[in-house]
Amino acid sequence: MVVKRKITKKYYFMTFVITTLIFAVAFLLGFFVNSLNYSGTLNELSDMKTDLLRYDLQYRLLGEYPCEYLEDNSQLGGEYEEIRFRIARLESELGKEDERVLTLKTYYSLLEINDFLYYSDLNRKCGTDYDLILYFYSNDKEKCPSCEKQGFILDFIYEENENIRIYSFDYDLGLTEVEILKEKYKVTGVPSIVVNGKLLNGFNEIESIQALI
Amino acid sequence: MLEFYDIFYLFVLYTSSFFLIFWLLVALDRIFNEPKKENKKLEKFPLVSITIPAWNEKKRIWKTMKSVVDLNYPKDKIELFVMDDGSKDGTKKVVKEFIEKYSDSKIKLISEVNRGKGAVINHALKLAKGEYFVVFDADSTIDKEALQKMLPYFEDKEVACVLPIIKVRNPKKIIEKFQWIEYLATFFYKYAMSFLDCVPVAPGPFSVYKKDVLIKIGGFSENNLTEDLEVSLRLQKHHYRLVQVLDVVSYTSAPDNLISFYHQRNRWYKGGLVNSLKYRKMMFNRQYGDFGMMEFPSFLATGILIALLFLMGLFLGAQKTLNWISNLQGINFDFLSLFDNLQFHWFSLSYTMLTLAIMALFFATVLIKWSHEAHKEKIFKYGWFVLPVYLIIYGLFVMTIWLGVFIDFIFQRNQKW
Repeated sequence: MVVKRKITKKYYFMTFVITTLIFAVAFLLGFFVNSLNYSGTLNELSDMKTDLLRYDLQYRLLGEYPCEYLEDNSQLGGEYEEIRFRIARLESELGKEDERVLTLKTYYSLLEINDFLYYSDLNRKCGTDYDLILYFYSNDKEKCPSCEKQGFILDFIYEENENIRIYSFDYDLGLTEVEILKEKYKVTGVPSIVVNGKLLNGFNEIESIQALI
Repeated sequence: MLEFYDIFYLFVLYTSSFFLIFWLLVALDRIFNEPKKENKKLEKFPLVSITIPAWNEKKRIWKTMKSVVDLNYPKDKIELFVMDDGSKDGTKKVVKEFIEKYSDSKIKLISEVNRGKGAVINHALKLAKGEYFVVFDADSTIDKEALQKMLPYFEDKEVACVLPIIKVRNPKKIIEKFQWIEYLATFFYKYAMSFLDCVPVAPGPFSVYKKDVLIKIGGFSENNLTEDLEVSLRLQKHHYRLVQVLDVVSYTSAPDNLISFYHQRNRWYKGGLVNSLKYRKMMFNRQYGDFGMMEFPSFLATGILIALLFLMGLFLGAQKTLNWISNLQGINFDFLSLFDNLQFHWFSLSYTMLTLAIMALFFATVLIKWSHEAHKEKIFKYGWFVLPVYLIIYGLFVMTIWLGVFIDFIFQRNQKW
């Protein structure tokens, strides 16, 4: 006598439903966290915008030599770094082309330029010596294999030095203001670093960057 | 954005979750919906032939033979064949001493010239006069009530083989304790799957076969790495039923160091691979019901996925490490300042993957907990840390072994017993 084989469909069906449900929950959670992250970043960006606007207004209200007063206000702190990490994270989750990522990057780049101009003015008019670094990068590994390492080195320099501000721009963002910056400093490829107005083309070791600070 | 390895990782997670949840459902069904069967008492005592294939088992064979003599079963209804497969350590002497001491039992010592386990068992099968045939590995012991509890299952005429639970004997080292957990889970799995006629293998310690079925299907395969798996698959192929019982326990010794553990598993998995290929016609074959659609393919699928996952992990890990080293070289390996400034960003974890991994871990824990309950064992019997460590690192062992198996297989490296 032999066994009469059967396929117990109910198990396959229920297993399929439960497993798929679990995966759906996991994906929803990922989706939820991503949008939370997006709106959080957007909020922080708009806080920064308010701050920048205030400094700008103070600057204009106080006239030409408000240096002491302005310097007291001048620390926007590590917020830039945090926001940059968040945007990078969202970019790797959602992709380069995602509209939310583009929105955040545009917003962030504009604020960076604003901050950069503000500090340039401060340096020129008040004699402060902030080191200002512009960094043009691409997250496309094939286009810029050395960008990750260059970014790592710049992060390190940022942590190691006081009175330093680093602004990073996605080379391919296509934002008019960024294009003007690129043109102004004659940036033609990635990675490119502009240290206090001086262009360093291609990948640069830590020593050659530090020599300009 | 999903990269290729994300998709692969998701696929592996989905497949393994599918297997886990399938198992969970069958187990649940079995626990709650199976009608309680009264343990039937044996009325007749048919002749049972037991064979102990032995090769260099001087130290352990006495205990093994003793547990046969101690079986609660009429002495004249048991015949024991100790097949000495050319041992060089004096196993024979120990066996002879035993026979002298227990002269009221029917024990025969048969000498072979190292022909391999399958051949030796077949020889015993030819000599056997019993209605039932038992293979009993020389490093194991068995419950006194084993035959009393197992033979009644043969009333069901489709049953060709009844298997006991196997537990690791007296685990002391951590690797034995890992195997203790693994055996409990494995046999709980087999018990649940037995419900669907999906028992894939009848292991060496005290599997009871119906002798005429064994002879009909041609006995054991000789020169097979895992002759126990092979014969079980052949029984499945001929649509016989294998029954995993839960209330008979055989204790067996497990490898107590990494190297012999690796060799044992390498042989098992390689045997699994070879025999899966040999019986590949059963795979995804509706004729074989749940066994063909689910249980049988799952072994090979698991192996291949695990090996690929491991390779991919190695590759990505190596890539990450190289990147990291290159980055560090960029800052002239200034570790001190680096660690000063190290920050951890919570949002840099991918929540989808994290949730899935936690879910999988959760289901694995539930199943292991149930396994312990089914076997009436305490979950932290051998220390609370064994289970978490097992869950975290045992997968790595399995991955290494599978990778080794595939490498051996690809480069045609053969392994003997």
